[in-house]
Amino acid sequence: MLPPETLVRLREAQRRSAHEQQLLSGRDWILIATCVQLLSALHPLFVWTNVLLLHSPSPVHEKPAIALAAALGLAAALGLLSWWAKYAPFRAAVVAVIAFLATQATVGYFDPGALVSGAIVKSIVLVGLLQAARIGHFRHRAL
Amino acid sequence: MNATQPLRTEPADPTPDHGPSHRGGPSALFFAIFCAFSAAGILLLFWREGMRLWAILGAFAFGSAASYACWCLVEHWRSRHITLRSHLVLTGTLAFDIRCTCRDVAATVFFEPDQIAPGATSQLLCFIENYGCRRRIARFRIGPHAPLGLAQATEVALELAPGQAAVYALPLTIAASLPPGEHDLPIELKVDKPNGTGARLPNAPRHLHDLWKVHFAAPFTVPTAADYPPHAPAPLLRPRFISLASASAPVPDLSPLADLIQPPAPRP
Repeated sequence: MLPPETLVRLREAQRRSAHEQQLLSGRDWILIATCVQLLSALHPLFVWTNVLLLHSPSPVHEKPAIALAAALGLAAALGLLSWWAKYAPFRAAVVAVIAFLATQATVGYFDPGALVSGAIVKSIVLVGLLQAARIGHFRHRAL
Repeated sequence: MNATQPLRTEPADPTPDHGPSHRGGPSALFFAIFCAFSAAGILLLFWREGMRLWAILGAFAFGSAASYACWCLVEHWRSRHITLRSHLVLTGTLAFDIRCTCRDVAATVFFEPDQIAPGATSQLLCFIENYGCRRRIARFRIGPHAPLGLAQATEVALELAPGQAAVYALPLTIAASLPPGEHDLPIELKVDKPNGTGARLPNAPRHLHDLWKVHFAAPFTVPTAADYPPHAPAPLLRPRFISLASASAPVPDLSPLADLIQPPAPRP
């Protein structure tokens, strides 16, 4: 058997490593948010394809081209920020939250209905980004 | 995956593979039901529209997938009485804080000691335990971290028998030029399943998420020169891969781990 003091030393070193590993996952939250954001672009892509290629009547009060451009642009921005989070996780997460809220506000200004549609997906993305900011803040502080 | 030759533990674990070679369980059941419904739906829809070739092709594709999933379920059910048990060394005996597994392999990585004076030697300990009923090969990618002597990433493959727990010890010397403070060594773990996924051992922890790839950052602290004077470089020992528990043995044997861990150096 291991001497008790050796076991305590091992556990303390392992706890520190496990805590560090948990902090790594802040970047993963931004990656998850990026994937969900990409999936949310499927609906506006479908509507926009129908309108442009199949000449279906455009839905009333909906601007699929704007919604598609916003969703894809935001997904690309989140992808870049997840790469930056490798070096500055807290700043990247905060910028991601601000970018997400600013994009939703802009889209809502042009198309208020877009704020309501896909509210669950938007909530999931926002929760993921806030979680990344929270974890990044832990790393920002001294361990 | 690269072609790094897998290392075997000292002593080697003779435990053979047990149980089914496929996972089975709720995911396979969902896949079987989904594919069966899709096959039936495609067949009926296209046949009614007169597109009989597409109906047959779609039904064949989804039907094959559903049959494969059903076969996995049957195989899983036929070998449901697995007698092999894990000793739960990492999560039980050592009571480590394990958050997830990588393809049924629980792993944790840290430095011992993790307070390292410039020029001194420490060892990176990679603890792994196989909770699957089939053989696994854990592939660690360690580094790069130039001040630790790892100018390029080091890859090491470690073979684990079913239910086996082991530790890989890699001695490393800290460069005297490394500034004081907190540092991390990046490590990546992937796991190969050469003999199939199989099932989890019956007494393995159920609450652990299973991931395809796990990232670690082994932390260590370099104290200021006032606390620890620089050491003269010491010769490095060879890396060791030691078995801690075998599912074939009645109890785990942690005595090799005690030999591996040196008593803490006295503070000057």
